[in-house]
Amino acid sequence: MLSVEALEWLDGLQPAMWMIPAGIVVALLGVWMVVAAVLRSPRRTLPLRADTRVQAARGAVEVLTKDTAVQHPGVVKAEATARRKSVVVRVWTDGDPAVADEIRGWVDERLRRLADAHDVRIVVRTVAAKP
Amino acid sequence: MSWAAAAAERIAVLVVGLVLVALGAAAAAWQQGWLPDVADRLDVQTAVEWTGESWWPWAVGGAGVVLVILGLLWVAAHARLRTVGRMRLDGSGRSGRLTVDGSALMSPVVLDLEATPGVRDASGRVLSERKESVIELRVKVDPGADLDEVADATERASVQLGRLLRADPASDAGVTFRAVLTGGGSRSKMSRVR
Repeated sequence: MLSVEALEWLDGLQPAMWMIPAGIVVALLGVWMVVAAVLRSPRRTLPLRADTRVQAARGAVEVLTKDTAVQHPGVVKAEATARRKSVVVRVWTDGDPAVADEIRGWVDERLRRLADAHDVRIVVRTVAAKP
Repeated sequence: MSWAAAAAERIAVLVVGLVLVALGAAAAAWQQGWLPDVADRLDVQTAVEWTGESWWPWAVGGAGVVLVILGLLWVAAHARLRTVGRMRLDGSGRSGRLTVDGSALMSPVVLDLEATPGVRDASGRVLSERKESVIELRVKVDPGADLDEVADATERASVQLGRLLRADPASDAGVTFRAVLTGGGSRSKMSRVR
């Protein structure tokens, strides 16, 4: 029986080297659980300016932001991540240096209905031109 | 998930986490010899002897059953459907009960919402949360939608529902109103002028 084998293994156990890495892993897992239990749950929706309770899921904010970014003629591909207080837009461009500022303005305008101010961060990567 | 179940889950996670931190730290400290008053050999001989007793299999089996029941309760607390088919209205009393069918209440409002440009799909349901009625609208937004237009239409839908129920969607008195816009697909189906 498993319980008997486990107890027999425990009986007479002495300090061993494997206890250092195993102890660290177990303690880190415990710290993670304590932090998860104490911290507030992440907010999955962002409030909109409205008299009634209208909220936008992070996914909705992300698709609107991504759609805004790909409208720019200099953007090849775009991805967006919405957080509680910020929106991060990753864009792959053909090298147009004005892309970041223009997209930031467009996204700000598109998301102006969000109740809380949002910091729009643009991460630009240039796609190498094909020979 | 009810408030009590959520609180119980957090406390359980906190306790298990603290136990793991203590166990992990103790194992490392024992190996390093930082615990001088602790024996250098674990002695659980008494527990090993218990395994030969006739009650041992029953005790282990009972503990297993308790753990299975706790696990099922935990899953059920997360998976419980809180949708209410019929919502009880003010005016119910000893002389009779006034109720409204959830889908009948929602369908005209949802149809109006779905006619809004930028709305791919809409749905509504009546939920019971912490013994209170919650009217929830979920609106799937096209990537090319005008957020203002969709938010205004959703707000109008909440007001319309409030009028039907004689409740104020801006306050939580009696009935709570909630509307969530969700992302609908990655490519816009709306026609655009470039």
